[in-house]
Amino acid sequence: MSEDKREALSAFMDGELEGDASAIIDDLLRDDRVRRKWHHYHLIGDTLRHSLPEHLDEQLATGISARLRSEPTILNPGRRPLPPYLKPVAGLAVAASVAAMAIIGIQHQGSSDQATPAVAQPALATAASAPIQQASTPVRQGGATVEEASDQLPALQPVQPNIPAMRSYTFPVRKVSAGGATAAPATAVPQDGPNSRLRNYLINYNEYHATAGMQGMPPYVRIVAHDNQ
Amino acid sequence: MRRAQVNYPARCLILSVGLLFSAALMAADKDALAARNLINKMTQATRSLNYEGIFIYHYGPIMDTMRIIHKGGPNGEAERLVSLSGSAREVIRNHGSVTCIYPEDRVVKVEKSRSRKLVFQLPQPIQSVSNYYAFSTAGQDRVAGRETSVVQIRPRDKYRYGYKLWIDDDTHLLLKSELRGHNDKTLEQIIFTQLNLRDNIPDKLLKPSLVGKDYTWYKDNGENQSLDGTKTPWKTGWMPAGFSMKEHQKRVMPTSKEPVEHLIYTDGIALVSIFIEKLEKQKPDSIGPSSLGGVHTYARLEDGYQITAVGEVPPATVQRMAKSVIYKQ
Repeated sequence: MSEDKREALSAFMDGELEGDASAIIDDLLRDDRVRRKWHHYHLIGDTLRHSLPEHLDEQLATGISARLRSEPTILNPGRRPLPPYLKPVAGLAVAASVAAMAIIGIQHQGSSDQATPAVAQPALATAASAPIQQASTPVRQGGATVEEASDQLPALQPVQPNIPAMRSYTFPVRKVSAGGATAAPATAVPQDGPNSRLRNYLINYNEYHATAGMQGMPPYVRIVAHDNQ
Repeated sequence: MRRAQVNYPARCLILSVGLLFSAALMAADKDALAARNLINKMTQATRSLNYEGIFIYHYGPIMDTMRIIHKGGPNGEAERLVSLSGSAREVIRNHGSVTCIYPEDRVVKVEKSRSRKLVFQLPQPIQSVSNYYAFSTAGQDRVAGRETSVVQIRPRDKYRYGYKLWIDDDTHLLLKSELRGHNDKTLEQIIFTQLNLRDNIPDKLLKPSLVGKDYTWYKDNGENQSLDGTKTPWKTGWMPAGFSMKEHQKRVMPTSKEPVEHLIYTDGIALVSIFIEKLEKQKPDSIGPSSLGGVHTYARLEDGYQITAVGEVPPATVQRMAKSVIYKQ
């Protein structure tokens, strides 16, 4: 999957896609890999918001669509085939009922045992041993590696709150959406290494900012500022 | 004759609507102009006056109190910025150099600074910058016990940030400043709690605090080489509308063996730097997105070069710009 596609998908997810979304929707409908990516991005988002469900079933959606594909034959036991114009309606009805069941299922599971925050690991183990395991889902690694080296998923370990702030996650999604969120900047301050290249760059950047551009705040404020916790 | 009579009220109507409309336009233009005048005065005051004050910096989970001591005047600016909480980090800049002291790492960095001849002015024709930002005034407010005029700069697309500025009526110094995201959400701010104008700033106030012997010093002796922007083989393929290259430099940095190419782009308000460094044995550093407050960076590797974009713009902008850089002999 190309970088551009991933970016477009993540922008679409954030509601920030410019232009026509129909290509992405088509991809989502057609391509399993795109769909998986979509789920991964939601998983990443859920993790960052600490709103992971207790049990992760990677295969739930795949299962539902697979079932749906085989379903219509069961629905029409052959006595009197539905007129063609009713078929999509019937399909929708099934989809809706399966979706409703899925929601009830998740709620049930979710409410059963909320006191243990660190259940992600067993849940992941279950997912890993699921029969239709895909070649390289992130869940399988139980950690940070995803199907591509550039996609580090900070997701699966920090299920508990109060994990010390992580340095910089690198995954192609724009974590801080273009508008940005004040509450939790996803990338941390790149201050490690007293003589790091980035530090030098930032000093140089500020040097220009002091004399060019509009000065919203004194230059170097960000270099002096630090997290005191 | 009869036709003229029918048309007369209609014509009157059109004329008056047109007048109202252009009056509204003129009022908006006038407001934008007032806002831009205030910004110009602020830029001038911030760089030319002697002052000393305390302010709070706030970004996400980071909150810090700092003291600023600034000396203006015809002999060039000098400024000292000290953190009042946590370790006493400080930055001192004067005509020749920038000194950064990081007590927690026991490190002092000294960089040569560029000449301060070029004091920035907003371009006079209102058009160019107004295509990308909307300027307006937003009433009066009180900050640090002083009356201020509030100015707002809103970006017209999502590739840049907006600003809200509280400018002192008396001195035109900036007393409060907010960096704002696309939905007008505050991302980062500074607020002065105290500000004093001084006739004179004694030199001792601009001296760094004591630095122990166990500190490591990194001195940058590299000359800044200003180059012709058209000579660089590196081209930035994409940048937001209105951005253009303002400067092209080569400079040896403490971390680099070969000079680092530095391309500087601006749209008149925001500034984006692109650094291109050939890696010999050095490791790549901070590949992907990172941030320092409202400044975002994005670094990638290409053919043994690290390409890093740094700017006070949304993460998507630095990312797209960094990714569009290509080598063209």
